[in-house]
Amino acid sequence: MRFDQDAYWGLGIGASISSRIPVVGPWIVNLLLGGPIIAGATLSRFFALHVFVIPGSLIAFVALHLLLVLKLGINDWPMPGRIVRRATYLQEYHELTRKDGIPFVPGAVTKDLFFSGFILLCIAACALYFGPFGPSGQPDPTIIQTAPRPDLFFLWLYALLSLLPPSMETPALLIGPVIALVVLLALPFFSGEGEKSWKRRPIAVLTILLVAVTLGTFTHLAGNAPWSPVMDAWSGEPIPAQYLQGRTALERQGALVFQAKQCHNCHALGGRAESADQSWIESPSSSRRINFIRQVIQGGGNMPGLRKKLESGRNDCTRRVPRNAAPTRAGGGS
Amino acid sequence: MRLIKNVGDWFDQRLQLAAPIRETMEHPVPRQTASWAYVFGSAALTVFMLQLVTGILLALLYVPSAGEAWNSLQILNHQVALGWFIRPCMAGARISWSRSSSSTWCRSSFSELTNSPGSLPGS
Repeated sequence: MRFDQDAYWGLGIGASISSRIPVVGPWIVNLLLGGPIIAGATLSRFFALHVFVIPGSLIAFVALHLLLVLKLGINDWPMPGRIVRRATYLQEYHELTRKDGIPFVPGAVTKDLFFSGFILLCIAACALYFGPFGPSGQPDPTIIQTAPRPDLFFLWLYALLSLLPPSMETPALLIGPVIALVVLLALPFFSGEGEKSWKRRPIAVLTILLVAVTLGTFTHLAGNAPWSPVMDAWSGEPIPAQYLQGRTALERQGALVFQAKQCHNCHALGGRAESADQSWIESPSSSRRINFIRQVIQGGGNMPGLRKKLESGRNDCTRRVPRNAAPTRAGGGS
Repeated sequence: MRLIKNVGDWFDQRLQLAAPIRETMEHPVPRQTASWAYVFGSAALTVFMLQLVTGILLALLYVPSAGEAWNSLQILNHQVALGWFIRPCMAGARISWSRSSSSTWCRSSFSELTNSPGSLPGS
């Protein structure tokens, strides 16, 4: 409901994921957005979901859950060596509560009340301290000066999608969740009996640890976004004099171009980068020279084409780049 | 006193709620589950109710239209009394809800961490 830039672009990504579903994709996008694009109908649709459908079903499910807690009891704590059997579990539980049970009020409710109060105080304290989150900029697709980011609990997905090779995106997005859902739904059927203590279930413990570490790692990666180019070369500083001494006039003119066109956002001067790239820029041999010129003119990889920026003759542009200029990052000048 | 009792009896006779409520409150639970490991479920219920309350408060002022939604959030943040406080309460309740319900689920597998197994009757 925070209809802002983050929401707009996040929804755009959600819609484009849905559109990749074979056959029914476009129909699902239409259902989701109330049309082919994110517009007024989209917000009304999500408002209805958010205000009526989701809270209503949550209330129903919570009520059902509480009824089952009353009828079937709470999950008794697992003990190593105590085997749970479907056939006898309920009978054993009710016998236990009859022989050694205490009434819920006041026996068990005191700690519940204390903890609930504590949680409410924590939320109020966080709300006081952090204040409202968003909205970020206006949800306007014509504003492109934006860096939308998902909320904390979706950051792992953001990192995963950024790091996956493009060919893997559709299978991972469409098959992965289906497998996860099927496994979770099937789990009670093939693993509902036997040892329930975590001490006797190393695979379960390792699975949870693996999931936690994976999600934590992806969330951390999303915070750093290492897949975006890092513009931490010596931008802004003038080209050091040592690179200009003993150069031809044309090379010095090249240094000016290098400075003025922000080449140094990605390219370093001196031997700071991988030797292969360095020699490539230092002295392109005749066979690689044509590739070099094409790269500078047309761009490619992370590098923008510079045809419009370099007005004069094409053959000059190689000599305009100062010697020893090389990418600071692998792939930065590919 | 007698009047209050009469009125109470009349309501109970019409609504039939006293017995189920009493039964719910007094339903027996295993002695060892009166433990700090078992408080997350009720905490989830509490923050869910907080969500309902704050959600209703926000819905009073939020305008669900593409042109107005963003502005109504700005008004909530900056002009409405305590709007800046209710919005993060809602967000905090949403996060606590997911944390509490997943903690409840984890507890159902890991609760012996906080219970001493020796205190279990019959073990």
